[in-house]
Amino acid sequence: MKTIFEKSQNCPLTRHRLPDSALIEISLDQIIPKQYIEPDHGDASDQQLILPELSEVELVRHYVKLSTQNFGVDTDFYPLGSCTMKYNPKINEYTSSLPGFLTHPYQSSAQNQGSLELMYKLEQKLCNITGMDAFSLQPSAGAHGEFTGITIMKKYFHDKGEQRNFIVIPDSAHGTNPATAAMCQFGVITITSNAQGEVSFEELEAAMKQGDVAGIMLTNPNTLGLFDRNILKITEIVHKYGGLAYYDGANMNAMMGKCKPGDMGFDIIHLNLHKTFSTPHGGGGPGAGPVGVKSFLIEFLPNPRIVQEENEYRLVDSATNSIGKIKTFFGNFSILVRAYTYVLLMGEDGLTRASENAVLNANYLRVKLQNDFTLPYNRICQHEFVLNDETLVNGCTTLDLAKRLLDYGFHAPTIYFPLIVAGAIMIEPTETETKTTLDRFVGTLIKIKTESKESPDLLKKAPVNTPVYRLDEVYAARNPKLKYEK
Amino acid sequence: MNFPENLMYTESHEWIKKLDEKTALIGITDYAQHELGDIVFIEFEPMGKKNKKDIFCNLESVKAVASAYLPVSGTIVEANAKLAKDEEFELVNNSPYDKGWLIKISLSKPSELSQLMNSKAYKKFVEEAK
Amino acid sequence: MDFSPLSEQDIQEMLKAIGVSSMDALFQDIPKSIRNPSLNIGKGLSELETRFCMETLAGKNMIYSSYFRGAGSYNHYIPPVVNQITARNEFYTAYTPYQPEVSQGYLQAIFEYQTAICNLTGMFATNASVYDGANALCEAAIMAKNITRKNQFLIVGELHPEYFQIFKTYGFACDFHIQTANLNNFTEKLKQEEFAAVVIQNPTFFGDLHNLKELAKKIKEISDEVLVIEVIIESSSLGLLKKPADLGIDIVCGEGQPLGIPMGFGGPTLGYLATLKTHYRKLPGRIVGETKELNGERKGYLLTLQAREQHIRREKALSNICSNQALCGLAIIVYLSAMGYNGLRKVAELSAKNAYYLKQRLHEIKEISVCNISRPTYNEFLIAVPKGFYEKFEELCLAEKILPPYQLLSESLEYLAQVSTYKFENNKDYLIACATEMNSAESTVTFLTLAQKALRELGGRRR
Repeated sequence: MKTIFEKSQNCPLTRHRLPDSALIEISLDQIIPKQYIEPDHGDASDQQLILPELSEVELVRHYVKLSTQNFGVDTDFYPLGSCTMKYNPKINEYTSSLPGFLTHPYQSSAQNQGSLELMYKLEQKLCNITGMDAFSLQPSAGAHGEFTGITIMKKYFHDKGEQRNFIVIPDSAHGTNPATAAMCQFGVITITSNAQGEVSFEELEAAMKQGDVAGIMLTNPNTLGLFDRNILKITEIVHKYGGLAYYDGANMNAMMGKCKPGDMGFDIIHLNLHKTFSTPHGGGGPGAGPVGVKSFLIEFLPNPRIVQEENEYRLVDSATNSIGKIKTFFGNFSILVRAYTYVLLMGEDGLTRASENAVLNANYLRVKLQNDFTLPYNRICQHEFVLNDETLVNGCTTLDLAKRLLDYGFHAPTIYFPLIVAGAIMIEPTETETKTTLDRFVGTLIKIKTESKESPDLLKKAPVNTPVYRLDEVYAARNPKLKYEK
Repeated sequence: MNFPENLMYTESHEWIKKLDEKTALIGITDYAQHELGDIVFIEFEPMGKKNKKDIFCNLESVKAVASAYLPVSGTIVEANAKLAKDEEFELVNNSPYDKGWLIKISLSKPSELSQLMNSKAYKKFVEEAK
Repeated sequence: MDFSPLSEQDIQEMLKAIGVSSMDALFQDIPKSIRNPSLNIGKGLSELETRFCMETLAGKNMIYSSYFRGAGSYNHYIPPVVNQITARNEFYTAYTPYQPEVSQGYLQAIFEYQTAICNLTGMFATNASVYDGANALCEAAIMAKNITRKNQFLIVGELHPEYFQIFKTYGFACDFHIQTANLNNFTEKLKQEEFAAVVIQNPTFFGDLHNLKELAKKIKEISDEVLVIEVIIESSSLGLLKKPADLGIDIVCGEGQPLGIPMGFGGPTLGYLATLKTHYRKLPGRIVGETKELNGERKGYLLTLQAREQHIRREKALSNICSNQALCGLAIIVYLSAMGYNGLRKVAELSAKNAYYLKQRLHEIKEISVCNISRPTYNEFLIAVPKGFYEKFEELCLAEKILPPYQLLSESLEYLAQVSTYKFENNKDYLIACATEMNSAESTVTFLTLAQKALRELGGRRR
């Protein structure tokens, strides 16, 4: 489809959105030196097209058409492992757009009591759900939360006068984990997952014994969808050698009301509100990645903190050894509003049921697929599980399977992750899917497997029912074209 | 898969070809380019004095990035101009031992060459790795 | 209320298919001592009760009808068409476009957003956004550290205090060293160290407009290897000011909120980061590129140059950034397309002129002085007022639903004194006033009247 720039045709009257006159009649170069001002490209004679120029009707049609070429949770099943593509309740959209929540961030606290109360209460709810003692709601994303958490770890040891230069990370971890460690100037010690898909205990102890390890970054359930049965021993070992345990909360959707990361022995955690707490993914953002800590680390949290004194909420720089701020203002506030709405709606019973049904749905898919696909770790999984492409024939791969799924109107699961399973296909259905949808998905996957035997071209040439066919990634990378140019 | 006999090889899949007593060309092997896939970008480290096993460039494909390590110590004097200019990366895939050479080095310890594998040994090494 | 559509019957059938007798059996891997904890967060409410709860909370916040405060978050006009588009389900419920064939909608929209940012800044490339303007500054610093292999940074002039704080946090984590200078002493400081980059906010926190071309030239004369990073927070100024790329800026980073994103109590917003051809491969985060089909003729869009990113590079990644602020990027391109070049230019003109009017009128008031009265400013400026004035004024304004100028915090003054050439006196308070195209004549008259009234009441009290 043509870009909006190509659809431009100058029609100034249809975009007469602002009045012509300012509060004062004066020419611009009387208030700003002419040399600072860009020549006016709005002149008809000037051919430079800086921004699209078109009527509102053309603008709307352009973006509406584009939206129809886009797949969302509201379109159909979106089983992306590790992403928790659960349904985004529409009540969240209503509450987050209440005018009272759209205020200027620097309104005085007295005029923003509702927002401060919301953040204070959300913090408390998150503490209760996770077993941590305090939260910062500033981080804007999971990776941002990881950065905050690892910086807290760094400051903790720095203030103690302990030089610890490494962080232990399992080979199944999401790429952001080692990237965060490296960004914070830590070296990474990768430990292998054993045949049961769990952290190698011996390797962990050997690494911790070196004395130079600040801690571990772990997600549990892990990226294979398995709950590491040694978790208490793992965090114990880390603590024994003076390290801290960091929990990547990406997989929290399996754990609400079933197990708290705080009870697993973690000292610092982050949550992904856009995964577990139903806030929309927005095409890749915005999200929120609040960071929770045990009480001995509260002094390091970002400031300001929200305190409650006699029914009034105030912002106070009470974290005495704070790592500092990590986000302007308070965080992705409207995302926090959505998460809080969700927690009120669901309550303890609803959140527990969500985790239970998420795990139920995943196990149901697992057993329905186990006869047709290889599951490298076939035991009771939590909210997601991994299979691979071994049972596809005629040279069909995981990629081909994923593309063929698009032809059947599903979004493909996560592919080629985690790295420890060759040809991995990671499936996370979430709790907001009907049994009918799950059965339909199973049927389609099995059908595609049969297609690989009987007419493999259907997979290799897929997708053909989508707005574009497979795209040339190599061409894109070798000839970078990162903006429209006439 | 190609294993030219007149070259020496490393376990990290680089080859080296002596041009004369003091200089040599270095590149990555056919096996390496095959594993990496279509190369879309190469980032060369700055020229100058380096030690054996230092990284001399990073090769990117669409799905991966790999570092290339010096088989010997010396001073990097030249990078393949066609690649350094952001062009023709496919040369490394199509002609890894010839037109797709990566750098030219002035050797500081020529004796290090004897620590490398010959074509036969490298071929065996690759087959065992599989 | 709940969103899981499984019935009791479904659950029983599924448990049977799995081969277990109860839900509990699915959680046996969790050690018994920590399994099935109580959450103590109360039972779930109905949708209506939740709605009432949230409306009550929102009702405790003051909704002003006119704003004379900016300081990093700006009240600009957002055409309703923006919200209509970002509310399209296929956009806001989508994930990162990992399967480009079914995500062309988003990919193309972000490609268009990238184009608009490059056109406005004159830069070669930009990425698909980062979390906010401060994050953009920190990512720009990481880029500069990678490009120059140095880790010293010099802030010149009044950078927003929150940006400075956040930059310091990243400095601790990522090993950068940050120094400060003002317009008078920066050349000396620049000569003393090897800096990776100089960081300049324009317009400044106080609204001043720098002669960026001159500044960049001076910096490069002292050291041609130092990068110049410009931070733009009031990005509507891009509708009027010369393009950063034409002024000698190497990396421009900024806050996208003024370009079609509501103030929203501070977030979410969007940070943009754009640079020249020489450095574009060091841009962090997601980038959308154009390509063609493998076996076809059609054009398509996808995430490209991914070998820079964390999911491939892992511990060798330049930054850990994974997601972006995609929906905000969509809001921005729709806003910019709805306004068009003339519209954005008008936003900037009206904002500058309205602020100029306010600047002159306030300076005419005897007890109030505009610190930057004789310097060119964009839509904000700094005023010095007698102690005690602000509290009175704020109270009077509240009754008229006017949000008065921003009062500088005493904690910020120490930092600001290092980067500013303005002198701060102990017997005065300092406020940053702001105007945009949204400030009406009526509310401005009321505002000025209330300022006079507050001064009178203050004077009366003193007597």
